[in-house]
Amino acid sequence: MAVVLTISETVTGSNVSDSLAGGSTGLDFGQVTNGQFAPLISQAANTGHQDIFIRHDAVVDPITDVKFYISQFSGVYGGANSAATDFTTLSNYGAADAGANANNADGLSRGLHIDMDWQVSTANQFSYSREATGQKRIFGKTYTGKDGLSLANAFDMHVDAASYWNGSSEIDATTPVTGKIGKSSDTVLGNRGHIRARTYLHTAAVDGGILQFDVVASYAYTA
Amino acid sequence: MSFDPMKKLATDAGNRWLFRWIFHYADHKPAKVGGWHPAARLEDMATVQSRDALALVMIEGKHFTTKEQRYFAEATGEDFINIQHLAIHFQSAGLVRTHVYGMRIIHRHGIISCFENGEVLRDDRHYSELNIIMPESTRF
Repeated sequence: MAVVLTISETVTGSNVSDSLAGGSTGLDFGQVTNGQFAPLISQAANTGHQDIFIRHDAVVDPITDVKFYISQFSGVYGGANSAATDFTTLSNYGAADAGANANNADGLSRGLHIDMDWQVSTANQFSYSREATGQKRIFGKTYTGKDGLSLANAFDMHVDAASYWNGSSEIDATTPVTGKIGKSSDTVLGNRGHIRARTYLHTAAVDGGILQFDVVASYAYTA
Repeated sequence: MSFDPMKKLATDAGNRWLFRWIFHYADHKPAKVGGWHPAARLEDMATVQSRDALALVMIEGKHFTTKEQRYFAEATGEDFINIQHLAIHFQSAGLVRTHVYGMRIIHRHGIISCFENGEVLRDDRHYSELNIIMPESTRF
């Protein structure tokens, strides 16, 4: 049977449905100021992030090969330039990211960052040391040949993104596997992928305006 | 692999291949054939079909526009593990979209992936190296 994902902002929510410039719906990260990140609560405390939950409706097997990449915005464009230009801009931001601080204290971080550990601490979330473990990824930055800009170079969902929603609370999957999300009753693999995301802007950024792009989730399911 | 379904959807959506699975049996049972789109019912899925005397598993493609049909991949029944649809999820113009862009055979010696642009990718590593553990539905 066809297997459909639900990608939501809350653990049991519906698909993301923020109103976007141009008239499409999706996920609005909010406004980011030079030298900071969004969503932002406190830069000094490294707080503020966008939760993203991934679940599915498969009834036979888990889904496998869950990966993420960004693509040119496919909705009705309402940004400041063009969908193609925005994709290039975001890709270039990732490639040029030279930050060293999770909270962008040095003002050198830029682009779309994800942290694929659902229970990472506030102090550690989005830390650059987590790139070595595969938990943190920046779209456009290359990690052993993968830059997150195409299906072939998509980022694997990290094993630490797997969680299990038991109906009242989110707990750790007992034996999660990279890129796999189990069925709704699967306590072993978990029934959720839970990642955190932020958009960063470097201090020296000169272009303002709305940036629009697609985040694509790819996966495989039993036929 | 250079294929990217998002780029194809944006520029060349109609020029693509649909895929279905075919099971051939050694004991003269009639072949089982899947649909050109993911099955709507559990009993029509490849994974619930009999594997007794399964001789050959094939992926057949049909061109969306020209209707040309051809075989893209095959694996012997004794090596067969699973068949999967390959899909992407994204939102576009206010719609949540799931797009199936290919099909693949997982067998004991690797994976053969068929993409909607007609590209076929063989990965001959053992499935355990590819982080593919046995699906729950696999029967021997």
